[in-house]
Amino acid sequence: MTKTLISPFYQFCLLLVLSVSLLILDNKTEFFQPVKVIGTIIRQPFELVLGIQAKISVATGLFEEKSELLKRNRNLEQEMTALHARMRQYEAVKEENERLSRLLSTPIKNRSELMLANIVMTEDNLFNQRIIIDRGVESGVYVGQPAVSDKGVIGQVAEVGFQRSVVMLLSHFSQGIPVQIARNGQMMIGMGAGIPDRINLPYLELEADIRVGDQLITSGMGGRFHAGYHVGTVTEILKDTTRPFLQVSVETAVKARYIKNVLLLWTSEDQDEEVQAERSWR
Amino acid sequence: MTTAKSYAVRSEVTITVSLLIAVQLNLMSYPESLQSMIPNWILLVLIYWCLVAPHQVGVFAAWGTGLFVDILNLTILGQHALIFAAAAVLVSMTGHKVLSCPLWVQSIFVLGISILTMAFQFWINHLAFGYEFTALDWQSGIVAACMWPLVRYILNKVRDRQDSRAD
Repeated sequence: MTKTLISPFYQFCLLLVLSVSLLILDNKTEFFQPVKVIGTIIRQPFELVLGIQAKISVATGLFEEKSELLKRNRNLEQEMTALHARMRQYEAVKEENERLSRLLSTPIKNRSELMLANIVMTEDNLFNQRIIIDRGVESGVYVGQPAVSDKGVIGQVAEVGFQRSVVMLLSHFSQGIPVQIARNGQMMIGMGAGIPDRINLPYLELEADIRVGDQLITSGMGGRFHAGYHVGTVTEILKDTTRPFLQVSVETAVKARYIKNVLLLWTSEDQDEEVQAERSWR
Repeated sequence: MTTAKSYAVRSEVTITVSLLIAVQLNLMSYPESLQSMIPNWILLVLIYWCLVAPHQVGVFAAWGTGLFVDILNLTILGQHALIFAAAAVLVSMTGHKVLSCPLWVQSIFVLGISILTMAFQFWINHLAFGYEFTALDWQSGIVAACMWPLVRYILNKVRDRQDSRAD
């Protein structure tokens, strides 16, 4: 090996400039999108090993605590019976709804299209709160697309690869979501806390009508998320009169650790926009 | 001449394979209770190779590894690259003195390097997203220091075997 003439410190200075320009370019522009696509392809052999690990951990229970599994199992059984009971009700309601809409002779419109995606990797720790799913450009996934589960909102798509996409969880500190209190309809913004399963409500005035245990749902403002999806439950309210706002912590409804797949939504507004764009093009 | 060259090539293969294994270890999923304590395996392996093979693994190699990790993890490009390059420059400026020290001093050295690089990482996150870090975030640095003897032992064994083959 030939020894390089520049000292390590100057090498580092050179690379520092290079890295910072990369950071800024990647943060502000879409220039490196092809590189991300390549990244998702390079990932595949690594994911193969992860798949083997998952199989081993399922077989041996080596990587999961048994009490946790038992608890989860019991919860799931309970939920299932509750859901079965509720499904009967829904079936009745659905029938009634169909009958009524036949009477009105208006076909029920599909409000939004959806697609099921499997989670390839979950990263939900203090450093990062995100999941990687097995759908990408190939399936029409786009940046900013909402992802939900049966329990509520998970987050939105942040990066799109060929057959992989990154979904940032609501708790990620770069994420914000327009929400409202289900009880009184007050609207506000929720910001990710950077801690798993936690979001904060940073801009609520001290006199705001909010209580521990309040359910938060999406307000539909901004058009990215539909109104009415469950977001979380208020767990802690700190009232410090020396500060201009309340400090409110919310526990997210969806725990990323316990989900296996997500639903990607194509909002009907997007479709309408597309249709309009097509029309104006013609 | 040919043997020296083939030796260099073989050691580079060893370095690449060990780094790839470290990348895989970083990607693995761990139990929830251990999640925040898992050390950065890539950083540990990089520190080792920077110490024992400074001609093969320097600042540029560390930067390249970081860029590879960024591409692979779909994180912002340059984040890990910058952190690993910073760790490599710290090691290459002070490392040769550390090699002859007892193991526990090396562990403290590794602790220092991981804490400095983590501080760097948090600082980048703070600038980019306004991230506020907590005391819990530093756990993995301490675990990294405890893991250092093990990593050193395993990689020493790998290197011994390779040396004996080269002879």
